[in-house]
Amino acid sequence: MRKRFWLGLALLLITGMLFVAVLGCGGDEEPAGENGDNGQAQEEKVRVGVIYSVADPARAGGWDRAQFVGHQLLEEEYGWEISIAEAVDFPKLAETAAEFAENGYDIVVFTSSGHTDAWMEVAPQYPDTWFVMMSVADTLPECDNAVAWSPDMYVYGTMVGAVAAMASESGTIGAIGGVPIPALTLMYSGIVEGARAINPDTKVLISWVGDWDDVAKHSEVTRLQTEQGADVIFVVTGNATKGVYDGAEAGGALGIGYAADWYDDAPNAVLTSVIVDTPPMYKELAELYLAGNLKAEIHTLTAANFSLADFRGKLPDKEAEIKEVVTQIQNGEKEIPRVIHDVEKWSNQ
Amino acid sequence: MLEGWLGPFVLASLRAATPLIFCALSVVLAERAGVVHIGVEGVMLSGALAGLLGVVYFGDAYLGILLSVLVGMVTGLLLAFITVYLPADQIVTGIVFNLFSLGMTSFVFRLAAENNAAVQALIPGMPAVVLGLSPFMVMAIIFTVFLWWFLFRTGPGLKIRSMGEDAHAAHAAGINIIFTRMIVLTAAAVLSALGGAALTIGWVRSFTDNITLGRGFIALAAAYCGRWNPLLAAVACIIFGAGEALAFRAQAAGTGLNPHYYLMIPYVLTLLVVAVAGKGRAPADVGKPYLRR
Repeated sequence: MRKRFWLGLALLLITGMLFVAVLGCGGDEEPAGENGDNGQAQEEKVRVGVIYSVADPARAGGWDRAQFVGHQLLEEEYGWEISIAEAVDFPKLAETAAEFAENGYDIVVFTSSGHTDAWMEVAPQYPDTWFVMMSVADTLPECDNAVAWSPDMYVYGTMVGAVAAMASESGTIGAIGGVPIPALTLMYSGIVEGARAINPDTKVLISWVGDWDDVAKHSEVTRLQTEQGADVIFVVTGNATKGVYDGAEAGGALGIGYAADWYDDAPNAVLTSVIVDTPPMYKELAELYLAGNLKAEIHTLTAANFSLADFRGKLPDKEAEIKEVVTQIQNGEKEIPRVIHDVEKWSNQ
Repeated sequence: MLEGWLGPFVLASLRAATPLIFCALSVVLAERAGVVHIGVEGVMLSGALAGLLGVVYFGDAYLGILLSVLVGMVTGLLLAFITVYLPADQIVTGIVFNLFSLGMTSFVFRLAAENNAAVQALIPGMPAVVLGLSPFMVMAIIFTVFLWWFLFRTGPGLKIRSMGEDAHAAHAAGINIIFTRMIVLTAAAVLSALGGAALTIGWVRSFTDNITLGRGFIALAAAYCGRWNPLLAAVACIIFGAGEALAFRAQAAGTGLNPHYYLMIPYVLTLLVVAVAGKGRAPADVGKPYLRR
């Protein structure tokens, strides 16, 4: 009898803790909705649903961070209502997008090329909602209400490769990826060619960790690349990015951040970041939508949409030279051939 | 290529093995006393976050370890209360606790990161103490030997083992089963939490959601492979760590094979070790709730 009492008490405590936790979450969200607007103004707001497959996108991998910065502009500059669905598993993507559409959202944003199947499936079913792909896309769904802003990952890679090759003292640079997906095949091919456009003898190490989230494995792969001589390392992965900066710092190498500015995460290790300027993408989306000119097409992001983050005092003797080459790539003065390599089995060449 | 490869390879193996060793020791200790410690993964995760938060907020790695130990004690007492005192089913409780820890640590980490940017950044590392070994590696070696000595060479160790084999007989011999198991499970949880701290403070210097990624369960397998002997369990952890280190080195050697073949190495190796180890006999009373007759 006494034990039943204790069991009941324990259950009650756990339920209470969860209740408090849920209330805590709700408390944070409430003020954001208020913002001094009246109910009528809220009804007129454009409503946007943004879908992420990661949790806490503001602090996850580079691409998600960049997207988060981008759609904040819709909220801050246009006063649109943004609802974020995060940590959505791939099998539930279509269902989540459909739910946004059925609840009257005007725009649904997919933030990863891994969402392509759901984008293709759901967009034709809800013609009154715009479905936007903010990642690599080469074809559109068969409907008039789908649009994409697709980065040219090869060009992005050439900028990373050029920066890495110029920053490297050893002549060996490293590129680490979670899993070899098509977007990374393009990007890492770009890294190889970008690096060789600067120094044809640059050795490029490419390693695959096998997942996007294991911080420890990412750290070990990076340490191994530093043991092989790499002194500048770039990574595209998910939550595990900091593992690479840990490994780079341990091995005396510098890291180049992907898509967002990674300096605050690892001030000692991050040389710079090649940023994907997402706010202009979302601004263009907003302007086209408001003017009624949004149409089914793929907007390609080129070198002009990629920029370097501040070096913050690292490599002061090379900074100006590196920025000059990046500007040349951006304005087309420095041409880099487009060669796709078998980066999945690359290792070290 | 192979020049000077041995030192880094051994260190990489030990880095990967260290968190596993702490957790495997905790499983061995708990199960030798007759309690299944499925909750090892959740306690490890909680200890990993507590350690990192301790370093960020108190500014010292050893205070981070202390906070991790405290969280281990609290979670251990909670688990012991539910599975030993009440007693609820040990496996179900462990699974529920793991799920609870996953949600709770993600929630707390997010709150902390929103309020303090330093939580998101890499924390300072711990310098090596001897032969390139980190303080956690040294602690893991000491704890392994100590636990073996304690379990197999001391009177209290014998009492704990007797509880794991037949709790009612041990009770008849004068051992307070509930009290002792609660103490043992709390100590085991402290070891699991230290495994988490070894990961975040001693290795990757950061935390992300679900950072342990099943390492607690690998430690459970290591305890099984090691026949509930601390020394053998530690060896099993080192074999797994060596498998991970080998997988990346094989890929880096550049034989042109698909990388997924190399990444299978630690798991194939573990399967082989389990197969070679044969059927181990667990302590007879493991998993059975103790009810006084």
